[in-house]
Amino acid sequence: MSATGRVERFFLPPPADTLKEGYNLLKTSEFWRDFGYSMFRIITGFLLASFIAIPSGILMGRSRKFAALLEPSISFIRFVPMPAVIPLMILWFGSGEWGKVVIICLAVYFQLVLMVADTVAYVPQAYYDIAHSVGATRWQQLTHFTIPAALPEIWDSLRINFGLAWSTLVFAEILGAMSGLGYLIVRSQRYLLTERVFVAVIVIGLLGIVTDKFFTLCYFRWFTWSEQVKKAERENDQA
Amino acid sequence: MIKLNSIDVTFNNSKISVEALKDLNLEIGIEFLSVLGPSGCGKSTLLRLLAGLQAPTIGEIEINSQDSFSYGIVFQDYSLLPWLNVRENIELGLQIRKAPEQERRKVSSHLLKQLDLDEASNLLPHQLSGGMRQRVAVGRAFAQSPTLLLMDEPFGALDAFARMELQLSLSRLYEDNPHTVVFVTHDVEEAVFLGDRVCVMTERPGRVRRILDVNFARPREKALKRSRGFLDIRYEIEDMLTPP
Repeated sequence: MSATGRVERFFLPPPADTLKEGYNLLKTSEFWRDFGYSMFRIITGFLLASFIAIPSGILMGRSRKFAALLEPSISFIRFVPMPAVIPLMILWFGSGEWGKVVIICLAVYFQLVLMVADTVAYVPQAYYDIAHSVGATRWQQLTHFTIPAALPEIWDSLRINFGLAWSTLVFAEILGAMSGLGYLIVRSQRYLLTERVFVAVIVIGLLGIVTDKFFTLCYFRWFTWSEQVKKAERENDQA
Repeated sequence: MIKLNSIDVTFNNSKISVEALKDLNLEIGIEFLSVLGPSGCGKSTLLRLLAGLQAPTIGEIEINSQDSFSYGIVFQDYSLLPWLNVRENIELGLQIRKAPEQERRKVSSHLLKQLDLDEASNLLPHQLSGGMRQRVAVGRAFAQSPTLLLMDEPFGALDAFARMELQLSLSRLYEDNPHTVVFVTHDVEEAVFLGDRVCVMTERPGRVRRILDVNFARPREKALKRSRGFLDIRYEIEDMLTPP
């Protein structure tokens, strides 16, 4: 449509121009700087969130007391959309690097912790019966039974929440940053470099697909047994 | 020696109370005890009681053993950890007890051989047939060499052929290394073939109806199932459970 010239190019640039612009952009150091900043923020924020969410989720899944203590407040925060509190976060943590990292970490944490807790709470009793019969201590119950049984689902939750981390990151960078792929979008829009907006959006989408594939590949490499168990359960349900 | 003295187990919930076991008396030595009874007669409750997963409402359980008490259990299904391979599943109890690697290997290699699982040692449970899976479960229970071995209809879901194979394997393991085994089953032939004694239970609330001695020589072979003495006991029990 845009190639015919009927639409102003700053609304919808022709695909060929977008490709060309994309090629040019990839050659600039400024693009790679933005890319690097975004990667740093998302990876640090996500890892931080995982390191806190997985242990506390396991604790919540295993201990009713702990769950009762934390779940109401976590559920409340979980339903508050992150973009609504990003301005507040920027106010508190500043618009520097750690501000962004904290935003991603919080957005991911509150989703992830409940998913982990849920997975852990649904580890079948049969495994604990085996644990009891081999005389496992409480700690061994956790390390030899609960965690391996829950790990595939936890990994899957990580995959799902990485998507959330992406959207939070871009949003945070649009609202308050001087670098990153989100900032690239704002800057380009300001100067009506619409091709660049498209390039940035495409790059973000591709990165999302790549990370998702990475998680899925690892899942099938490490947890073949889990797929097989699920399949058997489905067949049992049908029978 | 394990002694159950006038045990009652009653399950209460807000509306109804169900008597699962009533005035149950039983002595179990180092022997293979088969437990037979109609469904819902409290056989599983009996196993849970022996495992310490269920406390008696009334009565007491005495356990006299030199070593510290431990038990192994095999269920009808879900007896294995799906993320461990065959060898690791067999070694699970030893691993938990932090037995040295060398000892673990020795025990598991011996059991893998006896159970004909040599070639499967690196496979995961989902790659095995139902019969092989139960063989691994039996191996896991024996590897712990527990004071008490509990089996809750372990071969109930298997086809006749796999069942026969497993009965023979279990017999061999038991003959090599006698333990106290309590084996719950629905199958009269299986109970007689495996047991030193067969305990027949009443309908709910469960109680011991009769205990029959089965004194066939060991090792027991397949042909035993067709012998006159075997069939006599088998028919006697069948008539007891379903009067002609």
